[in-house]
Amino acid sequence: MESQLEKVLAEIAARQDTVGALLANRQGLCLGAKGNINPSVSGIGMAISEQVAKLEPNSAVPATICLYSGNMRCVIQKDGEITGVIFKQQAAAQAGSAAN
Amino acid sequence: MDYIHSVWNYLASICNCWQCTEDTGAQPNEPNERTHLLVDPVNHSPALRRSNSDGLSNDYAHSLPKKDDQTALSRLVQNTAINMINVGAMDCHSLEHQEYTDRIRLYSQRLHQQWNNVQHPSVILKGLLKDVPSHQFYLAKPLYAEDTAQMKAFIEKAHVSVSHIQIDHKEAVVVPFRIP
Amino acid sequence: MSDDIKKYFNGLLHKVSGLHVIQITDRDGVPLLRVSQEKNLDFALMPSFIPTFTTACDQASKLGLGRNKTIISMYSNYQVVQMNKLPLILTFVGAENCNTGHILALEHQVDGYLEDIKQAVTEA
Repeated sequence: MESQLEKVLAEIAARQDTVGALLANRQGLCLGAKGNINPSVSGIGMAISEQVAKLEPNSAVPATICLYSGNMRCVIQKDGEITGVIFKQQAAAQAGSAAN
Repeated sequence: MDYIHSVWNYLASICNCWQCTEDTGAQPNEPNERTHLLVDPVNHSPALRRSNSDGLSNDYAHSLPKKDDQTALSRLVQNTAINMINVGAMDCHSLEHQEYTDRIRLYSQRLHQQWNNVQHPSVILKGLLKDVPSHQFYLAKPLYAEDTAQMKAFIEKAHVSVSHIQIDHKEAVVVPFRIP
Repeated sequence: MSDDIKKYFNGLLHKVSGLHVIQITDRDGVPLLRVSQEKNLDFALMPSFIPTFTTACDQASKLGLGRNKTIISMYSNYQVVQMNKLPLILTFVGAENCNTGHILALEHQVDGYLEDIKQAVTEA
């Protein structure tokens, strides 16, 4: 049923430095999540991307949002009906120089 | 004397056997003349009273589970009633207007009282736009090209895979209930 | 202090775009706290709406999937998210295109406040 989606999520979550990935539908409900990511993030992730989209209402290209905290970062993009959220961590080499 | 004792024991064991076969034949949850209101060996027939301790414990073992059976059965019936999805119970009761307004008053009164007494932990305002030490650290964050590339690939693939979501049912979707 | 709580819930209401009403009631639908957007919606239906949720929740708990926690109802113009926080019922009413996931994420944010409000109902 959603095996293809599961496969995509697994592939994205397995990439370098990636902690977890999830996908939200147009209602901010989680369609699927993989890795260390809380499915309840989907609603807030979509809310953030909607707020950011208001900065450039005429833009045809969806904005990509990067949130930094400590040695983790969160990448969000909302394109049409779906919103993707990816949690990433600092690469091992960079983590040493990063202070909280 | 020993001989008489052994005869008594023999009789008692026969009685026990006879009783237990009769018990299994009778309705297990229906009280009959052999149902003990009080599980007390003193009230038994002299034959049973004279029987050895083995026979007594045997008697206990038979009378106790029977009670458990009954409670278990009634519990089963009760649980079934509770677990039944009862759509008929959906027409819910509505409160009388008087009680409704009374309760509103009661609750607001209590909340006022409570919030005056209890000092609620003050709400700490969290926000991005406030003074932070070492703002350079926050401003100098690089944007990684791989992040945007990964997100782009993710969204593209997600669009395709979401459009492929469909239900492939393996069994009958509608299950008929066997209601006579 | 009650103003503080009201202000907090008003803040929540404005955080989620398209959310019209947040209401805390007991299981019979008697309101304890209610915040709503300025354009007040006509929810004459509300008093009977909550007890219906309570019974629906009770029945839905018997489906063999565990205790029912949340019911989301989608209508042509509105969506209603109701949470079972017995003895309280937490109700959100929003626009149909409102961010449901965001509303659900508010759940654990308000838990601390609900504990206080719960006492007013259980004191009896």
